[in-house]
Parts: sequence; structure tokens; C-alpha cells
Amino acid sequence: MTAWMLTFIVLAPLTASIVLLMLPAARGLAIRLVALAGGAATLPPSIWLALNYDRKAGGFQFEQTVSWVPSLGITYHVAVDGLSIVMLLLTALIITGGVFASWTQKNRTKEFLSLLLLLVSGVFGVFVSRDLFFLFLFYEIAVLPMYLLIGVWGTTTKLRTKEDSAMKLTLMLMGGSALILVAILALYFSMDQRTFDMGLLAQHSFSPEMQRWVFLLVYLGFGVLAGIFPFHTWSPDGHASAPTAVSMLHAGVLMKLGAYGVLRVGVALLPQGAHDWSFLMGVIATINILYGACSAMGQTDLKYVIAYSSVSHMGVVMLGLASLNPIGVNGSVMQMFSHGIMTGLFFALVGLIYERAHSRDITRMGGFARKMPGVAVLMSIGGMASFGLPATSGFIAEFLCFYGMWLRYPILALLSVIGIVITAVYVLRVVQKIFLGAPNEEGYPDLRDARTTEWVATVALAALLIVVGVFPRPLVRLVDLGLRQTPGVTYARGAGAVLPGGP
Amino acid sequence: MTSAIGLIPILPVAAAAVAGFLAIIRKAEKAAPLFTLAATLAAGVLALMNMPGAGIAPHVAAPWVNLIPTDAALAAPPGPTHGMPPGLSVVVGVTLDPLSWIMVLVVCSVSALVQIYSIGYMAAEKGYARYYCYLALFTASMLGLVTADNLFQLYVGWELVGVCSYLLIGFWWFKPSAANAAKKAFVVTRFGDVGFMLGVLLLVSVAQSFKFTDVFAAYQAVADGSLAVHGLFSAQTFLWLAPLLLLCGAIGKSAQFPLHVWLPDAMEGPTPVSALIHAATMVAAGVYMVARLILLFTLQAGGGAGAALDVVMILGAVTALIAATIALVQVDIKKVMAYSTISQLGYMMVGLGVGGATGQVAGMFHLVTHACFKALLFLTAGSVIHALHHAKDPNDMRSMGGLMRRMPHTAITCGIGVLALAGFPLLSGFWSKDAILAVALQRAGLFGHAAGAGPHAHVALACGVAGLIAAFLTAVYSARMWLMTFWGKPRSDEAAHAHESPAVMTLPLWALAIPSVAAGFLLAHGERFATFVLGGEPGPSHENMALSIVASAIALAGLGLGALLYARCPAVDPVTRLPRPVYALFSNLWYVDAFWSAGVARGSLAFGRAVAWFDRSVIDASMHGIAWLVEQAALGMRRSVSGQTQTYAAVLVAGTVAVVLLMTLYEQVVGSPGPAAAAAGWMVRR
Amino acid sequence: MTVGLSHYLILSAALFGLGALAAITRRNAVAVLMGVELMLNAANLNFLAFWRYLTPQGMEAQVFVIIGFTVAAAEAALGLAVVLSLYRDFGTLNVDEASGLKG
Repeated sequence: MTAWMLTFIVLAPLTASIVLLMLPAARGLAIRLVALAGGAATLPPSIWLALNYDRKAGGFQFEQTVSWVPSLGITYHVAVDGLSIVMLLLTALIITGGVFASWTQKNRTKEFLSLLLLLVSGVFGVFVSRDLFFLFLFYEIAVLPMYLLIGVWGTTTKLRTKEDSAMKLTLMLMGGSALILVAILALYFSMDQRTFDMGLLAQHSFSPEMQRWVFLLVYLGFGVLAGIFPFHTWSPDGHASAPTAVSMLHAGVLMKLGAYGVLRVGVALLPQGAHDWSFLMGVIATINILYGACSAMGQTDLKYVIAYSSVSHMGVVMLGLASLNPIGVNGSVMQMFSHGIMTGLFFALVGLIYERAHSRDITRMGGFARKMPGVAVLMSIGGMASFGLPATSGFIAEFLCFYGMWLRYPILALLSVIGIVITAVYVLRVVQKIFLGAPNEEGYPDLRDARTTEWVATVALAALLIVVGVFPRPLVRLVDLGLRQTPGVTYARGAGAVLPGGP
Repeated sequence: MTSAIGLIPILPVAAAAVAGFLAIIRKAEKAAPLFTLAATLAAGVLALMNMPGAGIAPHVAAPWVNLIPTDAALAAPPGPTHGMPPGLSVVVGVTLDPLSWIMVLVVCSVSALVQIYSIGYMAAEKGYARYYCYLALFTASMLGLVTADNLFQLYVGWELVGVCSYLLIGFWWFKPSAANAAKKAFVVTRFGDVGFMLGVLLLVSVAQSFKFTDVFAAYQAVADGSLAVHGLFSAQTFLWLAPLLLLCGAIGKSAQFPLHVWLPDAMEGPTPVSALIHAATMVAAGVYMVARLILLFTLQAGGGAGAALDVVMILGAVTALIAATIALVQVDIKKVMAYSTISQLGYMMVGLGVGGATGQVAGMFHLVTHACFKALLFLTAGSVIHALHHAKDPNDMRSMGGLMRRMPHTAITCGIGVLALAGFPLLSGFWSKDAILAVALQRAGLFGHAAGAGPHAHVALACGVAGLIAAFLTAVYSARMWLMTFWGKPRSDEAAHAHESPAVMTLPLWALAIPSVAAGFLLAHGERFATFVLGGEPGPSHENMALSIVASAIALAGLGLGALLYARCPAVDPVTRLPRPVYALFSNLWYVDAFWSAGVARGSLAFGRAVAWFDRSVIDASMHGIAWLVEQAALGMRRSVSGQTQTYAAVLVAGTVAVVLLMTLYEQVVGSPGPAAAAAGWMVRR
Repeated sequence: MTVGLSHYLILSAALFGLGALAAITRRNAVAVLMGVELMLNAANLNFLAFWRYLTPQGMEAQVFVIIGFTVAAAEAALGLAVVLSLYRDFGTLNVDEASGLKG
């Protein structure tokens, strides 16, 4: 039974997605309920996994292996360690919240939810796959529906039409996929045994020369999705054009696939390569943090602010990752979780505000706290998590990332810490411009606080930010268990790597 | 009972949750203070019941995050560690050593009094329960901060009090000025926090522990040369950099020059909040932190003179002097007090700058007495503002006057606070200010002599003299403030018809007035205080009759000058008759605010816009440029797509023939199959 | 002189070449189709020749050839249908004028 748990998590949204297509479009409530069931059905198993993961043994558990194409070494092999479980939890939470956030969606709801669930099933697939072939397959399933979701249901902004944004996003991510495919094939063909199994590949030590170049491919390929500078530009346009639930999923979960891929395929399979490139990764991450934060400060469109803040926060994720020690990488995974929840909350709230204000121009808002106090409070909580306030999950995550990086390249930690001030500036600026100050409600007749279904997701996400912030220990421990057995995540200061500022 | 001290920060959190709930449901809001007050008092009582004794510090702790693996199988880190920590362990808890204990009592008592006072002050306000929720949250955060025995918890509390301060300054969020002030306060202090965080990272990466004692030990070991420093810095750099980075945090939080600009703006918050946060407790957190970590500042001095202590002292003296001059020309009663607070915090820093136990005691003593009389002064100001709340600008002292007769309790208690602030002989402020001046000047070789590590003598001399000048200015502006407010005839209708505040507001005033007078005596001129703080050892006496006489003379001269100028209530404020450039300098706040707002704030926003433009027009455009290149290439190649299937077929056939010919040729010339043939062969073999 | 494998292969290559030439150069759609048929049959001939001379005991080649015939028949039917609709749409059988695929 437990062997099927992971497959169930992958298939539940997929099944719901197919069922949705068969329902008549007029049955609005049934469609929403099926979608909710498909999304929320993944939540209990994810929690179950987190509770029943054997902490003594560590490593990959709940394994299921089905030979698929034996002659090519393709196996349906799923298993999770502590780290993947945290990502599963995140995804389950965000998709459930996402369905709630699209409860009032009116245009072609059926197809919209169906694609959304298809995408999520791909995301789950990536997090549980232990076979590179399936990992790549699920990765593509996760990335491609985005084209339709933004192209059909998006909103055209002043700067870009929704079709443009969708195309740009898809093309850039496809470009990354091409690099990943090359890297996967390079790994595949350089083994004597024909296998895509990541466990087996991890045991093989590839030549340093090969590791160096293949890691770069993996880093760039997955990095595009993680929004690394200068390949982040799909993200602001994409997020600004996407409908609420899609933004939530995309910034909340999908961008994490990028970082997760770098960790699982890059660092774990090519440890030496990761160590060779860790300074580059650190520098790019630092640029991401500062550059994203500065860009966010210069935006006037609410969604662009949040989108650029994602670029900045993904920088923190990549910074922790680049440290390649258990502390920093733990922080990185925690930041993935924290940022996923936080940005999901942000986009849900931005959706609410946009729906009521019919505008996203923050310079024309003001004093909204009177009409929507609940939204104001929730937004502030998200904002506080965003600038790493203690007692929110953002704090422990950022602290671990900075500390991990300090142990590796202090100079980069030193620079990137400046990001916490800039983040505070743009978050408080947004909160102030929208909610505080003299009420400016003339142009906004429809302002009102959130309602029934809208509360569910937002309050739950905000509460989670605080709960994890106050009691991070269980999650941190889960992640730690996963990292202890990840090759490439060590306390060593990269052997042979150039160490500016190192000993 | 000891384990119950863990509840000290938790009780106010619970009370805050209740108050927050009442605020959300908007029912029974008036019940909120019951909960928060009870929790605050209970926390205070718990502390009283667990007084630290000689060598005993009540302590409870719980692990918060542990990244040091406990399982043997996972414990061995993969690969060599290169002197890196095996992990990271964070323990949070409550420690009541003398220093913490004093702070807990100060926080609880001032917080409780402010909460009682606010029952009257905030009675007519919307968001009553929300206000108490924030107050309780602040109390909890501050208690968490002062009871920390490790850097991590200190930092957590540090940030949390900052955000509570943000919430309370912006309590009247619909006022744009309040919203701006709240943001400014948070961002400016956050500026300093970057330094603080880096300091924590630096120290912890060396000490591999957050605990103060471990950090001190590691620091000592580095100073001895028995512990190496890995990373960016040499041991020598580490020794002076670590304390200075921490000091950055104190500069922000304790409003020291040049980051003091947020504190006067923070007066946008309700006045009781100013009393609690921006006078008595939160702004003192920086001083507390330096006092708590004074070893880091002193140890490094080693040979007898230390750069870190010099910096602390100079910073304090500059702040004390500049803020005092600005306070002299302010007309907003709360602004006078705000600059006065900045100035007094500078004083504390001067005291701490002496270093060692001596400096620690002097700084902390002034912190405690200042908490009493400055909270008192703010509350009296609140009482006045409350009485004048119909006026256009209830804070403006120019429209006050003659309130003595109408608000006797307020006037008398305010007078006591003013005298204590000015250092009137035998009041609390006199003793503590005297202690600071004494240790500073003794370090310089005047009025006695100091042994051990400390700042350079000439620095101490300069700062001590600056302290004396600031003391004089303090006395002048104190007298000016009191006389302009309470003396003479009312200068506005509102002032003429003001009424004394209700008992719920005046009782806390008297409750604070008593320690403002007597704290110096109660603590036996600071000696009993020193003995307690130092854990039983009697501290060296720094009292010096000659200095006391000098200081008294200066205070009395200042008060006398103030009385001389203001007792007759001149129509034109005498300070405006200062030489024009001097007055301009003072009234323009030494142009520091202008520098920050016009230079840094606007500059950084412009920079943000520039980066946003760069991102769109350069980075994004170059991505689009690549797409454009591909499109152009495709348009070029499009011509080859003639639509003639037969052409395609012809090309196909020609291509096949060419490949086969090439393969054959390669084999003929080289003698072995080429790469293409090899690939084909591989596919066939599969 | 006995007839060997290479003779069959040369014949088949010639047949394929002629078929390809016809498919590429003829303008009449029906003639193009006939060229394609020639190429298919060249392949069939190859199959049979290899079978006869290299693996006479197996049956695979014959199976392939039969499949080839079937495909050729189906293709001819489909092809003629395409030709008919081509004629209907363009009013001509000249393939040069049917350039709907032009980029």
C-alpha cells in the first residue's frame, strides 16, 4: 500500500484533470469540486509521508520501481527523502490554495482547472522521480501547460500582450529544457550500464572534466526556471500576465523545480562539477538578490513588484544552494518552502485586490486598509516573511542561507545581506501605498474584504508562514535528513575550486 | 518555580493573541487591557520571584533548531570539514542574570504603567484592542530580547521589537505622516541591522555557537592566537570588525548619529507608545546589547587602548552633543523629548565606551534612571497633548503656557522629570549622569584614575568634556520646555481651557515620579546597582566630590539660564536670537535628515527605477534580441521553403547520396569507419 | 556467368533511381505517383534478393514484401484520391502550381 502512495500523489491530479474534461461545462460547482478533490487529495498523503518518514534510517523511502523500457534502462522509479517530502507538502498546499483562488474564475473553468491539475501532476512527478527519464518527462508536463494557461486565460498588460508573455516564457524554458536533455543524455551515454536511475548514476564518478561541463548545462538549464540572472526576464512578464492561480503555482512551486533540479541532478550527480562552479553560482545568486530587489523597488505595477521579488528570493534559494554545505542548502530548501507559501499568498491577495480595484497601479491606491482590513493584515504578514522577519518562515530560511554562504564565500554573504534592507524598503513601500495613508476610495467602488472561499487559502497560507517560523524544527530536520546523504553537499570547501576570500 | 520563568515572554504573547482576537471580532475591545496588563504584571512578578543571586542565574531553555545530527550514522560529515562547524544548533530560553533581570523589571513596570495610562489616553480611539495587542507583542519581544543568553535570540528579539515599533508608530495608519514615519523607522533601523547580522554571522562562524559565553571564549581565544579565523578576514581584522559590526545594530536601534533620524519622526505614534518604546525600552536595546557584549568591545583593547571603545565613545559624545543642540530649538514638545532621548542614549554610549565592568555599570545605570524619568516626561507630554487635543497642533509648545494652574499633577510630575533629566543634584539623573562623566573623565586622568583596558585617554577627555557641555545644554532645554509649557499665561484658547487628565493617567505619572527622584538613593548612588550587576562583587566607587560639585554647578547654571530666559515668557523665543548660521544649523537638524531623505532615500528610489529600466531595456531587450535574430534567420531560410514537394525530395535524395559518398570516401582515405559510420554501427548493434 | 546478388542490386538501384527521377522531375501528379511506385518496388526487389542470397531459411523478407505491396496499393488509392482533389482544387495536375506549403 505504501508503495503506491507516491504514485497516488502523482496520479490524483492527473485523474481529476481527465475527469474534468469529461464533465459538461455547465456543471460549474461539480467542476470546482472535482478540481478541489484532485488537488486536495494530495495533501493527506503528503502529510502522512512527512509523519511516517523513518527518521532513523534517512535516505530514500516509499520506493516503487516498475521496469518500463528495460532495453533502454528506463524505469518508473519513485522514492522520496526528507527534502522531497517538504516539496511535496508545499506543492499540495499551493495547488489546494490555487483551486480556492480560482473559485470565482468564469472563463472556460473546466479547461483551466484541467490544465492546472495536469501541470501540478507534472510537478509532483518531478519531486518523486528517481529516474532521469521520468524526471524530464514530468518536468516537461509541468512546464508546457503554462503556455496555454497564460496565453488563453492571462491578462494583457501595458507592456506585453498575454500571448507574448506566454510565448516568451515557454520559449525560454524550452531553451533550458534543451540543455537539460543534452546533460541527461551525456550522463546516460557515459555510463557502461545503460540506466537513467539517479541512484545508480550517483554512484558513478564521472570524470572531473565531464562533470564541469555537464554541471554547467544542468545549472543553466534548470536555472532558467529558477530565474537566474540574466535569464529571469520571462518571469516578470509571465507572472504579470498570468491569472492568479497560475501565478501562485508558477512562482510558488514551478520556479522551485529549477532549484530542485540543480540540487538533484546537478549537485547530487555531479558533486565535483558543482564545487567547480559554486563561486559562479554564488555570484549570480547575489546579483539576483540585489538586482531583483532593486528592480522591485522601481516598479509601479503590483504584480511586477511581486514578480521581481520572486527573482530576488529565488536568488536567496540559489545562494544557499551555492554554499554546498548542509546549513546553506538546508536554508535553500527552507527558502523554497517559505517563498512558495509566501508568494502563493501574495499572488492570491494581489488577485483579490485586482478583482476589486480593477487596477494594479500602486501609485494610485491608498488607504485600502479601511475597506479590506483582512487583506491588509495578510499582506503584511506575507511582507514580513518576505523580508525575513523572525517568527515567520522567511527568517530561518534566509538566516541559514546567509550563514551557509558565509562559511563558504563570506564576501558574497556580505553583499547579499544588503538585500534584506532593500526588500524591507519595497515591501513596506507597497504596503504603505496600497493600504495605508488617507483612504483614496473614490475611483474604487468595489472595494471590500475577502469572502468565504477566498479566506480559506489566504488565511491558511499566512498561518503556515507563522507556524513554520515559530516551530521550524520538524521541517528543518526533515530537510537535513535528506541532505546528509546527498553527495556534493559537504562541509568541504570545494577541492580545487578557486576560492576568492577562502583560506 | 524556576521553570516558570519560561513564561515571562510567553504570557504577553498569549495576551496579545487574546487582544488580537478581540480586535478581529471587534467585540469587548475594552477588555483587552485586562489581559495584557495581567500578563505583563505576571511576567514582572515571575521575575521578582526569581531574583538572581551571587553566581546563580535562573535559566530555562529549549532547542529551537538543531542541525547537528544526533544519529551516529549521520553524524560524520561527508568529507573533510576544514575547520567548519559540524552543524548549527539554536537554543532559545529565558536567562535571568542580573543584567537581564534589571531589564525585565524595567520593561514590565514601564509597560504596565503605560498600559494603565493608555486606558485613559486611548479611550476614544478606534482600534483599542489592536493597540493593546501591539503593546503586548512589543512587551513580549522586548522580554525575549533581554532574557536571551545567545546572539540568535537577541537578534530575533531585536527584529521583533523593530516590527512592533513599526506597527505602533503607524498605529494611525490613515495619517500619511504616520505611515511614512513607521516605514522610515523600520528601514533606518534595518540599515543598522545589516551590520548586526553580519556581526552575528562573523562571530558565530568563528565561535561555532551562539551562546554569549562561548562567543566571549572564542573571541578571547582569537585574541590569544589560540584560535584561527577562517575566511575573509585576518584575526586582527576580526577582533575590531566584529564589535563594530554589532555596534551598527546599536546605532540604528538606539538612534545614534547618523542613524538617529528615525526617532523624532517616530513621535507620530501615540504618546504612551513613545514613552514605552521610544524612550524607555526599545531604543535602549542597543545600549543593552553593547553592555551585554561589552567584553567583545573591551577584550580587544588588550594592551590598554581599543579602537572599538573609541568609536563607541566618540559616537556617543557626538550624538549627545548634536541631539542636545537640536532639542534646544524644537517647538514640538515631543520632538524636544525625542532629541533629548537621543542625546541621553548618546550619554549611555559614552559610559559604555569606557569599557569593561566600569562602563557597563555606568551605561546601564543611566539606562535605568533614564527609563524612569523619560517615560515620565513622555507621559506628562501625553497628558498635555490629551488636554489640548482640540488644538490645531496640540504638540506645539508655542500655543501652550500657563498649564501649571490647570494641570497641577502633570506640571509637578513633569517638573520632577525635567529636574531629573537636567541632573538636578540628588535626583536620579544626577547620580547616573555623574557616574558616566566620572568614569569617562577618570579614564582621561581627571578626578581620579582608571586602570585596565579602555579607550584612549585623549578620546575619553574629549568625550567627557562634550558630556559636560551636553549636560549644560540639557539643563537649558529642559527648563525651556517646562517653562514654555506650564509657566506664565496661556497662549491659546485651548490651553486656557485645558483640564487635568483623569486619575488613570495621573497615577502612573506619580508612580514614575517616585523612582525618578529616588532611584539614585535607592540604589545607593549606583554602588548597590554596580554590586548587583557585577554579581556580588562590589564595584569600584567612582564618586568624586569635586566632579559632583562641577556637575551640579553645570546643571544649576543651565537650569538658571533657562529660567532667566523663559521665566518671563518672552514673546520671541530667545533661541531664535542665536547667531543666524548656528540657529540654521540647529533648526535644520544639522542637515542629517536632509542628507538621508534627499540623498539616500530619493537616490535609492531613483536607483531602483534605473535598475528596472535597465532590466527592461537592456537585459530583457537582449533576450528579445536573441528572439529577433532567430526570427530574422528564419525569415531568411523561409525562401528555401518553396512549397515544391519535388524540390524537397530532390534535396533529400542529393543529401543521402552525399552522406553515403562522404562516408565511403572517409573510409577509403583514413582506412577506418568515420564517426558517422560508427554511430550508425552503434545503432545497429543495439 | 551466373546471375548473382549484385545483379539484382544493380537492377534495383536502377529501378530506384528511375523512380526517384520520375518522382522529382515529372510535373504530372500521376506520373509522380508512378515514380513512387517504382521506388517501392525497387525496395521490394532488394528484400527478395537479400532473402534469396543471404537468409533463405527465414520468412521475414517475404512478409515485408507483402506488407510493401499492401502499402503500395493503399498508397496508390490514397495518392489517386489526393490527385483527384488536387485537380478539383487547382484545376490542373501540374504539381508546380500546387505550392500550398510555401513558407
